[in-house]
Amino acid sequence: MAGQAVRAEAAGGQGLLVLRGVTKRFGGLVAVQGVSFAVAEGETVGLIGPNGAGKTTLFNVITGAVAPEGGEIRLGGERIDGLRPHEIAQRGVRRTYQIVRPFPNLSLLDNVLIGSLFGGTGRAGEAARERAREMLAFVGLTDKAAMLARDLNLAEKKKLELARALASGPQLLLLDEVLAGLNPVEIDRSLALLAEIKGRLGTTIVMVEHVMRAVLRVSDRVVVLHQGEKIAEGRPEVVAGDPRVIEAYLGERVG
Amino acid sequence: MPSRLRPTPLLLALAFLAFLAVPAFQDESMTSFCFRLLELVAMTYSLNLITGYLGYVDFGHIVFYGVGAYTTALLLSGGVALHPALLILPGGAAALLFGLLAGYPALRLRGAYFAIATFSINEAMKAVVLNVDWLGGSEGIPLARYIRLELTTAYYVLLGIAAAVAAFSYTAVRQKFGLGMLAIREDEDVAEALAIDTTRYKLLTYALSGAVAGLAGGIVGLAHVYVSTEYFDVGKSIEMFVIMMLGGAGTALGPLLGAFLYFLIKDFLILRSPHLHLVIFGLIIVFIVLFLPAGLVGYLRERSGRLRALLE
Ligand SMILES: Nc1ncnc2c1ncn2[C@@H]1O[C@H](COP(=O)(O)OP(=O)(O)OP(=O)(O)O)[C@@H](O)[C@H]1O
Ligand SMILES: [Mg+2]
Repeated sequence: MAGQAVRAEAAGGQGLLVLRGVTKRFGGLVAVQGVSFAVAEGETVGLIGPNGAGKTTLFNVITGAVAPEGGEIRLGGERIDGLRPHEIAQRGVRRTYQIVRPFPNLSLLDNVLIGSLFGGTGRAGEAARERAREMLAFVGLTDKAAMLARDLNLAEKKKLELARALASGPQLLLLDEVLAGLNPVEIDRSLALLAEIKGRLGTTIVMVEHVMRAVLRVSDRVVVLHQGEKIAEGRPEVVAGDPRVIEAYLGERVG
Repeated sequence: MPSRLRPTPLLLALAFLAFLAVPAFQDESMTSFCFRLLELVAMTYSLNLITGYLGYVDFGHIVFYGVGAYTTALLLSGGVALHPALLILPGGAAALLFGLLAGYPALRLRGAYFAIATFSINEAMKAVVLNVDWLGGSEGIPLARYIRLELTTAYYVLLGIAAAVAAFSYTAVRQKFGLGMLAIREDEDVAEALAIDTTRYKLLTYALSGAVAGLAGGIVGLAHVYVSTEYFDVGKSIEMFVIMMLGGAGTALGPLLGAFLYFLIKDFLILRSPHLHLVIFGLIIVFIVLFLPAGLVGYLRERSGRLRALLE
């Protein structure tokens, strides 16, 4: 434990995203407790843990949707905790939602266009539109560009959110269970997409995921949360064999 | 996308050209009927910005109309010698400023809380006007001795306001500002997470739509050479809502079509059933809310993707 903490500190020095002792309470419930870790530029970190471990809450804290009670969060060395969500987004942080939230009554193109227009991308007019079309093509939704987002199925909505998040060319992408609810074929397709985002765009990614096969395949490193606390961190194949991690998951399955 | 025939701007242009031709008939009652129609068209377009596009229900939108009308009237009675068409500009500016000041706290509220706040803002302003002597109190401010404004002049000014806000509505949603408003309507938290400064957008939209209503209030006050607390009458706010819902909230054609429909139905009902027309009208509104919640244009847009591309 101590050794890991030291390593996280060390990585913290030059990480793109650095969390130090982040804590978030909801009334008496401690959803996130003193969590520290760092994500280096270009890295893909898997954030895993049983239901209610605090993964989504951690995303909400990083993006400024909820304010943490303690700790600090740095992006590129600069404190971002305490900033308003749009200010954090302005610095290149984008996310997707566990329960999808596309703009339901807008066309797919407008959904992604909004992503490409805002956030100091410098894109306007036709350039922004072109970028939006590119992103729709990237996730394979070109044919449906004129449809309303609410008429898509779940897999398509998740892809749309991904396109919308990518449209601004984010530095840091937070993916909250982009694979949940997809069938195996769709999962493979989405994994190929993620590999491309990582490889071609070089985007730094933190992904919350329950599909273990996916986490192990895509992540460079894994952080494990359990009841709000970080219980393990390291290379995916090592963490997957960690007795505490197994216990956390088993405990969930049995209890 | 290949440029193809766009019926929406064409329809809008035709309708406003028809309005432009009205005074040429030199029929006083027709011009004054169309003046009333244009007033509701302009006001509904203005409401549509904050409620249809931004998604914030504004039950007190009429307050801007009152602020604009009173500012213009006070300047006129205070001896400011400007051409009447220019006299409404400070009215619009006052409404804009009022929107910024009132909107700053009110727009922290969402949903029904905001709607109630706007209602209260209007009632508060109405009470202020009623109780402050130099604002005319319950007597209002008669303007006939300061000005004699041709109806035709007022008509053209109002037409200009209505056409401008309609054109703005049509073009805005293809641009950054309009898409920002729509994003906030659809999901404010997501909009913020996409780097949209929602506070700024909301405040600007509220104040801007207020300015339009303020200009309209100013010119109507001058045309009627009288302003009173009637200009804060929430009944007119409701009328605007009905028109917006009839035509289709959040569409560029909705307020125009809605206003025509509104007058058609209302006149028809008054002729057919002079005693019960309000009751029947109420039932029609309930019917629309239940079965056509998106209004006429919204309903047609939902029918098919083709219609969606044609009607905006
Ligand atoms: N807004 C909130 N108000 C109160 N409690 C909350 C709120 N958001 C989350 N919680 C609680 O915080 C804890 C952590 O929830 P969170 O959604 O972060 O877990 P998670 O790891 O994302 O779980 P899952 O895998 O089920 O998505 C849970 O006990 C949850 O009930
Ligand atoms: Mg979650």
